[in-house]
Amino acid sequence: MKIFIDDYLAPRRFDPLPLTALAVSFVLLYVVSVVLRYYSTILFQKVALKIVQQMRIDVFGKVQHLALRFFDRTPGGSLVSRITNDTEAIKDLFVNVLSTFLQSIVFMVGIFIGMFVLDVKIAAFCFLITPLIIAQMAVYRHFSAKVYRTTRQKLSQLNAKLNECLQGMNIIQAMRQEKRLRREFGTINQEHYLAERGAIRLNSLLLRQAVYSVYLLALIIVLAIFGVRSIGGVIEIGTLYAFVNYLDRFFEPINSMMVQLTRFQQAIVSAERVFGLLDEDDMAPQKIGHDHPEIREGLIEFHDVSFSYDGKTDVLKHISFVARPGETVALVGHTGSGKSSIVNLLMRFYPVERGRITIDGVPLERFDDKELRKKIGLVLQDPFLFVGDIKSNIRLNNEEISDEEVRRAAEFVQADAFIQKLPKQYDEPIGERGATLSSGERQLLSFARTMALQPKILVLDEATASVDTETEEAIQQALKKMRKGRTTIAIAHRLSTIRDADQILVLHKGEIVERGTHEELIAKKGLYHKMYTLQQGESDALREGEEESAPAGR
Amino acid sequence: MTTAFKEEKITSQRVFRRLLGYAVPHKKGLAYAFIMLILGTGATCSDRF
Repeated sequence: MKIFIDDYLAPRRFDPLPLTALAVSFVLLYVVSVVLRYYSTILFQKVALKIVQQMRIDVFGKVQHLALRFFDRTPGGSLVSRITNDTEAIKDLFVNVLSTFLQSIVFMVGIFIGMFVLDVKIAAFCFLITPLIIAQMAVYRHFSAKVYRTTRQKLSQLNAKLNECLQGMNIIQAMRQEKRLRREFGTINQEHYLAERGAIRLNSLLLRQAVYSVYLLALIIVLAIFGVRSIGGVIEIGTLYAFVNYLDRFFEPINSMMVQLTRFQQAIVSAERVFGLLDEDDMAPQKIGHDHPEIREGLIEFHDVSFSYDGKTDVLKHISFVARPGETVALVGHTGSGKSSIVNLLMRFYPVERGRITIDGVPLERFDDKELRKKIGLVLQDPFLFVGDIKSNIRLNNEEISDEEVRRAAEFVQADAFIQKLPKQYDEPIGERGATLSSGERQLLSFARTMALQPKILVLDEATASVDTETEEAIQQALKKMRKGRTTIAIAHRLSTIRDADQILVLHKGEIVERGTHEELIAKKGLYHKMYTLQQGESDALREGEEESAPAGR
Repeated sequence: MTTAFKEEKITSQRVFRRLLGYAVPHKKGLAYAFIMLILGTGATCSDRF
C-alpha cells in the first residue's frame, strides 16, 4: 500500500506491469491471510470444545461420587448451574477468549514490526502507550472479578430456586404458594439484575471508552510528529497513511481483548466454582482394606451406633440391635425419630462415626460397594424410574440380568399382570420419573428391580406408604414373598403392615425406647401401643365415614 | 497492592494455570493453530507496505 502511494500515486506514475504485480500480491496476501486465519480459528475452537467436553465429564463423574451429606447442604439447582452454565462460560474462555488473545497479541506484534520497519522513532513513541493499556486491563480485572463473582452466585441462586419450584410444583399449586415463590424468585432476580447492571456500568466505563482515549492520545502523538517534520522538510504521505492505518489496526485487537476480558473474568469466576466442586473432599464413604468379603447369611448387627448429620445434633443415640438371617426387623416411630438414618447408615450412604455396624460379623466399611449394592436391596417410598422402558428399569442396564430373569422378577412380585396389559409390555416406554404409571405400579416395578438382583438383605423404607388402594393387595403379597428367607429391615408408617415382624424397634428422638414383637409391645402399653391404638382409631373412623357416605353417593 | 487483591490475583493465576492444564493433551492441535495464526497475521500485516 505504502509503495503504491509513495512510488506511483504521489508522483503520478502509471506503469501497468508493476502496478498489476502490486495488485495481485495485495489480493494474494489477503486470500492467504483469510485461509490461514480460518483454519486456525477452526482448530482453536475444536480444541476448546474437546477441553470443555472433558471438563464436563470430570465434573459429572465427581458429583456422582460425592457423599449424600454434600447434597444435603447443596441445592440441586446450584449444581446444575455449575455443570452447565459455568462450564459454558469456561468454553467461552477457550473458544473465544484465548484464541482472541493469541490472535490479538500476534497481530499487535506484527503491527509493531511493520511500524518499526517504516519508522523507528515514531514506532518507539507509539510503543510508549503499551504500559497504559496494560494498566487499564489490570484495573478492569481488579474491579470486574468481584462484580462477576456476584452475578454468578445470583445466577446459581436463581437456578436453585427454579429447581426447587419445579420439583415441588404440585405442593406449590395445592398449597397456593405461587405468590410467595414468585416474590422470592423476584427478589433473587432483582439482585441478579443489579449485579448485571454493575457489570454493564463497569464495562461501559473501562472498556471501549478508556481504550478510545488512549487511541486518541496515540493518534495525536503520530500526527504531531508528522506535523513537526513537515515544517522542517517533506514527509512521505504513504508513510503517514500507513502509520495512521497501523494505529487503527493496532487498537482493533486491543478493543477485542478488552471485550474478551469480560468473558475472561466470567470464565475465571466460573472455573473457580467448577474447580471448587472438583476439589470437594466430602466423598461418599469408601471401602477400607484390601480383602473382598461377601454377604452370605445376612446377619446385621448395630453396636452402640450414634450419628449426627451436622456434627452437632445426634439423630441416632446408642443404637444397638441384631437382625438374624431371615428375620424381619421393623423400625417404627414418629417423623424425625431416626428410622431413615438407620437405613442411611446401613446402606453406607453416610460413614459410621461412632459405634459399629457389621454384616455377617464383618464391619460394614470393609465391603466393596458392588457387594453392598448387590446384596442389599433397597425399596424406597417413592420409587425413582428412569426414562427408558419397563425392561431397562428392572434390569438397570445390568447386562448380567437376562430377559428371562427380568420376566421372572416381575412375575415374582406380581408386576407381570399389569405389564402384560401394557401395549408394548416389557418394551413399554417410560417417561420421566415414570409419570405414566400409578404409584402402585411404579412400586411393583421397583420391587422387581430389587428382586432381579436376588439380594440377601431387604431394606424397605416406607415401601407401602404412598401406594394406591388398587394395588395395595398386590404390594402386600409381593412384600411377603420378598421377605421370605431374607433379612429385612422395614420402616413402616402403617403399623398394621409389620405386625408379623420378628422384632419391632420403637424409636423416639434417636433412641430405641421399646423393642419386642407386636404382641409384647401391645401388652407393654407404651408408645407403640399408643401409636397403634391411634392408627386403629383413625382407620375405624375412616371406614365408618366411607360406609356412611356410600348410600348417599349411590 | 492490598492483601485481598494479591490473594485474588494468586487465585486467578492458579485457576488459569489449571485451566491451561486441560489444554496440554491437545498441544499438537494448538501448535498447528498457532503456526497458522502467525502466518495469517504476517500476511495481513505485510499488505500495508
